[in-house]
Amino acid sequence: MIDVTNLTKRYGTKVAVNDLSFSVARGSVTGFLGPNGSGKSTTMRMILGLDHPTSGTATIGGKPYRDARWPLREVGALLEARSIHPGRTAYNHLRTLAVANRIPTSRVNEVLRLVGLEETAKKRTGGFSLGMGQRLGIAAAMLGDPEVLLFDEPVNGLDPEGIVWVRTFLRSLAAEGRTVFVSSHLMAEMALTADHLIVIGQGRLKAAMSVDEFISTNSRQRVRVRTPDADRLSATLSGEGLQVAADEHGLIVYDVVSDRVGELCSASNITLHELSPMVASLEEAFMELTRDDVEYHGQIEDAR
Amino acid sequence: MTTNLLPPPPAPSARTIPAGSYSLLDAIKAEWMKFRTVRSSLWCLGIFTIIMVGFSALFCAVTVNQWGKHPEDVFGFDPLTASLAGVTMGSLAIGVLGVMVVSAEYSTGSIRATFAAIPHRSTVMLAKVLVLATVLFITAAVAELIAFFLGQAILSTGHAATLIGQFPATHIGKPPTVSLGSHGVLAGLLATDCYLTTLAIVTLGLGILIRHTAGAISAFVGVLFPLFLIVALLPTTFKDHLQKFLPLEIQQTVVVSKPVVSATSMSMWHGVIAMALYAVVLVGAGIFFAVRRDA
Repeated sequence: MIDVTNLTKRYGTKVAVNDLSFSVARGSVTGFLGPNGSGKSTTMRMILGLDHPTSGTATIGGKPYRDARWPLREVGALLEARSIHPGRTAYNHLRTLAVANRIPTSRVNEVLRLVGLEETAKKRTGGFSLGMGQRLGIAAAMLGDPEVLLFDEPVNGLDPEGIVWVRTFLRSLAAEGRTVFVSSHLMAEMALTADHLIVIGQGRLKAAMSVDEFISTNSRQRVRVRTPDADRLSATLSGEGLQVAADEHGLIVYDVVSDRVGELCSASNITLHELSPMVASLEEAFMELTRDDVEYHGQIEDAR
Repeated sequence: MTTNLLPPPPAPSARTIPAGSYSLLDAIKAEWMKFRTVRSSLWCLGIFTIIMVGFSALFCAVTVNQWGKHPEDVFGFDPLTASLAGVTMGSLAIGVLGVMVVSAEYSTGSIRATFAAIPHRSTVMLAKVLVLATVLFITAAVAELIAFFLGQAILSTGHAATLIGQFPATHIGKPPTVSLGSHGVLAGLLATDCYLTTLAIVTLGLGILIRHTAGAISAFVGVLFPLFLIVALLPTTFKDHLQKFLPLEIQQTVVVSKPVVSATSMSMWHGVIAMALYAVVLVGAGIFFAVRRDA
């Protein structure tokens, strides 16, 4: 439903989005992952025709967003939570949007109920918490009951209960056959919510695959082995049909539990200095994938 | 906020997307709703009306009180101009309103929600122009009429006077007043209404171009006042050619019931047309850039 082709955005000499191509299928949740500043929001704004690409195209259902006949009935979007005039009430904010696309006012109350904001609908949004702003943004996205939904960091500022709600909500939207494209910088959250992943770093595509695929490639059971007799151990393990790799610390054996490696060493009389199981978390795998692309490294990383 | 567990979202209703597409009319309805659902617009209109009425009362009362004491205030006295003494200060409130209609959306980011609903930015901006022009034309008409009737009522309380210090002593009678039917009054009121309305559109154009509230207001106040002072300092040959194009100078020829006869100023309706041209140029330039810039 969403097709991004060779999309590039330059600000002066800085390249925010670099020759990015991917497509988002309907009936599933597609996660859009990348560190802060990797170009996720810029890409989403370009899909919605808010920012103009330097080159390349972005279409929804085969046409650019600006050609939509009733944009809010075709595509719903949650951009930054603070895309709201603080002096207007939540109810009036939604009404101005509804009127623009001839959506009945009754629908405003429906979406307010949907996100649990009925109580505060008549309050001005300037006093809203970040979480309430997010809920209002989700309500605005759902206003036209659209087929295609884009959410930029929807769980930002939500409490745990809100996060679970958004997760369930996104899954149910996809189950209804809608196209759901959701950005996040949290891998763990996407592993629970998304079916497909598009990973970017510094505006470039790093990976596009299903979540299951990502998990199975990145969370393999591994065992680290240190031994003075690395060559013999390597041969022994390979002989058993195991995959072995060497790094500066020793050997890494894939898809095996440490017990079995220990037994094999014992049987072959190989001295062990270390035998430790390793399980990389998805977050680590994601960080590994985008390591060179993180825009802002934290102090801890620098101190290492 | 209460954290009651939220119900699962209902299945989507049978979606029926109506035929056709959004139109300028939909954009106008949305802009009108936006206009009347924030307090700042109502504040600006209220302050504008209070200035118009208050200055009229003040100026006319002072006129009545001082009548005959200063000959220069008597000759060329225009009762309509006196009762519309609030136009200059009222212009400030209108300018702020015109700027805010668009800059508030850019500064809060809500312009993205607007463009998401109506991606054709020229349609959005045109709707803003039409809504603001209509609101301003009606509000200014009401404010002018209140100011006019109040001002004339105050002027009519004046007493006949004799010009002091003149020889022979000149009887100048009571301060003159005009009624709606007097020659040039309706024309002057209408031209003033048009002047204020086009001024609002000029500032809206500034808002679209500059996008920041403070910057656009500074530009507006900078054009309206300091430019006037700078031109006034120029040598006469330049000044006579340039001065008549300044909004404040146009105002002098518009807010009158007796035409200003001067070789260096425009006529009343030429002044209004000049203001309309400024509005068209600024809004046109604003739309040109708004369509091309990132929101």
